[in-house]
Amino acid sequence: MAPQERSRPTINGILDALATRVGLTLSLVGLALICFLAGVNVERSVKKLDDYQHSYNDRLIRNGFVSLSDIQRLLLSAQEAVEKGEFTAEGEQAFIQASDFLFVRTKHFRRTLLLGEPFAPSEDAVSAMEAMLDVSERAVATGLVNVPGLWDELLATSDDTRRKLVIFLEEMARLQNALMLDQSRAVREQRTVVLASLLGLTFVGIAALLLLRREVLGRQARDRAERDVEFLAYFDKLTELPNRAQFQSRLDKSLTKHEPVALILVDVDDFKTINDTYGHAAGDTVLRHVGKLLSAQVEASDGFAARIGGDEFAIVLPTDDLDELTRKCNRLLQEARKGLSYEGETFHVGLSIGFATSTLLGQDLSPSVDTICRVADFALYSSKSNGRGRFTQYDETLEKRFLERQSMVDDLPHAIAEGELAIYLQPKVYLPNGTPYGFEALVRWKRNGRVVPPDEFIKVAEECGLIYEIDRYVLRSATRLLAEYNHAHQTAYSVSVNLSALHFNSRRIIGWVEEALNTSDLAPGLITLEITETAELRDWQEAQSIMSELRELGTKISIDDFGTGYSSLGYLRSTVVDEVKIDRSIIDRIETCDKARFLLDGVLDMASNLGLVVVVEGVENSAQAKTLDHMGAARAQGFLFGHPVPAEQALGGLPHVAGDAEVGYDRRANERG
Amino acid sequence: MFEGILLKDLLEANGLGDVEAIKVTAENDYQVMIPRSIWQETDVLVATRVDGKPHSRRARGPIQFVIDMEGYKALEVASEDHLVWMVSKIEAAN
Repeated sequence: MAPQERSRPTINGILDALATRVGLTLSLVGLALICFLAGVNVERSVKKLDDYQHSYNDRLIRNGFVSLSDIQRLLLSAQEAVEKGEFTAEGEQAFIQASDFLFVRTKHFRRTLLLGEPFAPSEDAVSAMEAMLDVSERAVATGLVNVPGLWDELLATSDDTRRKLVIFLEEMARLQNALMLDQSRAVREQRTVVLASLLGLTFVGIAALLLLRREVLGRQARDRAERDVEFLAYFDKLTELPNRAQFQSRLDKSLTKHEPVALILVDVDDFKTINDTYGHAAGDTVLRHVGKLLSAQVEASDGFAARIGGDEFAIVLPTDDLDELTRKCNRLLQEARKGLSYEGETFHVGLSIGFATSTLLGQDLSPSVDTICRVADFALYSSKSNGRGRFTQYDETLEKRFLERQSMVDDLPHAIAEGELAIYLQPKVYLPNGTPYGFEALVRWKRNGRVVPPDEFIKVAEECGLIYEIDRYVLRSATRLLAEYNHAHQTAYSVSVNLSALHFNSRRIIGWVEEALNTSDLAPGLITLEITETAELRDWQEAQSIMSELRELGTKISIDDFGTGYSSLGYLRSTVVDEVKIDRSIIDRIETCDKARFLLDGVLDMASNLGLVVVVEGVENSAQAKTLDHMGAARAQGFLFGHPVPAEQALGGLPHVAGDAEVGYDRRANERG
Repeated sequence: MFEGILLKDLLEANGLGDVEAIKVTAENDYQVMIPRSIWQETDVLVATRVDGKPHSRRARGPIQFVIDMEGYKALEVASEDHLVWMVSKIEAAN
């Protein structure tokens, strides 16, 4: 870990600690303490200096100098008289004046002594001055007659006084020096205290600024995060269009206003292929591109475009002008067809579009978000079924189908639960005699007194997810029926059950087949699972793995409708397939079309070489059967040999000796050359 | 009780009413500068008599600058130096 990364949490930790109630209180107390101590220190220094100042001022150093001058003045006036032998009148006045000066000075000196602290050098000096003053006053009082005597006395006392005044002055000089030293020391101390305080306050200031900055940055980050969260909650990050949540809430608002609303649903055709072939980055580019195309269509309108799912988009417009909507859809398709270039590749983006308006909804449908989405989706689905790259407007015909489908979706769960689904069986036979060896189990729905064929409801069941329950039911019922029959009649008829391709996206089917085998006790080899390759069989690898596990249970795998749609010769190479069922479209043309014959011949040949069983579907007349037999086809299925009929009926008319030869031996295996 | 003339009046009477400071000299050659603010802000008495009698030299006369205690304390710029005694000369400072 780098030092910076380590120190950041430390700083954050300190700042966090400072921000607590205790931390804040402690730091405030600390700050107050620093200020208080600095204040106390300054106050103490000032007081100390004041004291010095006072003690110095009290002693009035000036007293010393002026006293010396006064003494000198007195001596000079006396000396003049000594030189002249007597005091002249002027000389006398001068002496008296000088004596007055000394009197006032001495008195003043003495008074300052009394006011201040006792100070020996002052005391000594003042006492000496008083002695000298005494001499001069006595002389003045006696009329200044004895000049020599006065001079002698003055000399003696002045000598002592001057000496003591010098001592006083020296002491004062020493005091002054001490005062200066203390002053500079005090200033230095102050400097230290002030610097320390400034340093402390600087740190506090820096900490406060850091805290402030962190707080501001934190608030900004929070604001940003909140904006991001809001954006993520209501917008799709990739296309920056409103997301499903916003789409639903805005559509709901529009619908509750009871004004016309149009919903255009748009799917990107073959988006999965683009993603799988060119990668997700390419897929994202396509989605962004489509997002822009949609946005362009809602510009300058009150409507909006949204991304409501992986490759699903929507446009909501406050209109029911069908011409305008048609124009918009056409323009969208045109613009999309222009394609976009990505890393040198040009993608042609196909769109499937379905649209509906709130006013197109019939009386049976309430204009809710759910309803309008479902009908627009139904229109979109219609566009897809009709070959994609087109748009479909929801109309009465679609509504009729939609409602029918809707009621099927509503009724199917009930039908499954109540046993309204019936098992029909169609025989699978050996050529050329048409001896049945097994059956294909087919499901019929007895609905309101009508038998609904599978092509009407299997697709619906696949869309709404009920196909799993239906296939499971058929599997269970068909195996039970055949097991019971075989057991009762000592036969070995096989049964084929159709499985939707959807099963092969999940391993659940393995458990269900196992369950059917266990409960029916039918020999696993008598069960063939028929799979039609459709777009839903997305992951062939996974499907293959599931199929091989099913084969390990002993069941057989058959590819249904071979030769149409998605089926390819590639499956013939697959090791997990036991049987291919040739689609009826081939047999329909077998007598008229050479190509069909060649294809069948090729498949038969290849299948034989690969050890695959071939069943030809849709045999309707004996001529076809004959041709097939001639071509070497061994097994067939079709109206010639029997329509799908209710199970009891189909099993009722069986010869009690037949069955699937593969369980015993394949008597036809050697018949083909 | 001191008696005399207010410094302010004395200066005005002698044409020194506008000076910024005066220089006062005492008989013993002591000299001090007194700024205008002092006599403007408080009454400075140039005392020449005490209790009706001439101000003797031994009582710091014959001329002494006096400021009453209250005025003295109220004035920060005033100091003991300004209370000149035995005044011999007052002149404008330059």
